[in-house]
Amino acid sequence: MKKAGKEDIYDELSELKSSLAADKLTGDFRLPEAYFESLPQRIQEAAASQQVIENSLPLHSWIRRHALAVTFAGIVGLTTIGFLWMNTPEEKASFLSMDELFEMEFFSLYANLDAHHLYDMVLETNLSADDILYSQYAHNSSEEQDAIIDYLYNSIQHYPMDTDMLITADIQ
Amino acid sequence: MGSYSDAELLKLFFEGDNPNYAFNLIVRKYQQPIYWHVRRLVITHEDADDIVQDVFLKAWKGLTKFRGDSGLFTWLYRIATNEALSLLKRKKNRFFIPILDVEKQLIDALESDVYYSGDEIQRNIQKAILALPEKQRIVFNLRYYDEMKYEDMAKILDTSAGALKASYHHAVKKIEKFVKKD
Repeated sequence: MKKAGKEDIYDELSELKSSLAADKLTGDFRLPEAYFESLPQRIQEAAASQQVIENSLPLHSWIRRHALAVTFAGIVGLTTIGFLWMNTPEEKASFLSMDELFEMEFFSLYANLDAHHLYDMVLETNLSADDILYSQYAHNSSEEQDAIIDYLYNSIQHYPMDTDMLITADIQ
Repeated sequence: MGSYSDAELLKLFFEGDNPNYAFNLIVRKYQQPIYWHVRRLVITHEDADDIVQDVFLKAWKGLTKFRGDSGLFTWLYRIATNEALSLLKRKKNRFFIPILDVEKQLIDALESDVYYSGDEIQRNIQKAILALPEKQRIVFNLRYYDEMKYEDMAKILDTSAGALKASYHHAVKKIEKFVKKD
């Protein structure tokens, strides 16, 4: 992996007018002495001992076979339960609670965002409604924040969305 | 040792006479970035140490089936991220702790960690980072501390580079807001 480089990180923070650009933080976490010198050896030993345990339980042994059978049956059972549970009709609506929906509706009006687009942004990105809205009412004069909103809006157009899973699908 | 590329290391592992030696080289190449990535997520050295060992043990077991669809670096970071998040989740489930208390628990761990020596400013910023949602925290750490490109991050976190950029920018703003408030 090639790093982005310190320059890029600083430039980006400077563009955001962030004080984090002033001094690079180190984190200041410390380590026990010579930790990285001994770690490879400890990992090799752990890998070797794991190998010994696995070899002591050959595939054809009675215990191993029964353990595999029980595990397989368990997985099949859990998968079936999970499948039935996920297909319960009420479950789709529980992505966001009614309170959260009302809150988003209210704030989307406040932030001049289409509520439906906001729901989709929350569902299709890893950001929360607060993340998206924060940029609107706290920094609505910033072009960069507008660009983020534009990006989020554009990104939901390109995501391979399962439209049945979107809350807007139920609302519209 | 540092001059081996990932492709050379994998070739050595699969085609060489001594896979143990090749794996040892892989550990030596990636132990530090993986450790620091995990440490910033789980905070304490003890947890980070456990996870790093698990990451490489999983890599050892899985390497024979590794097809190289993703790079070695991406694969290891992905295992490490999942392991760290699993540990945080296990802690939360084990003690039925609400999300906010998990953050508080991490901050307490930071305060009491004998292997943490940050001054007041560093400590405050660490607290601000710990107050971020988990995924945003990962994005911030990878970009700010590991100086990772968004494109590489996208491969690890399986998200688009643009979304990660947006997430990082939000994280920066949130950290500043937290620090000013404090």
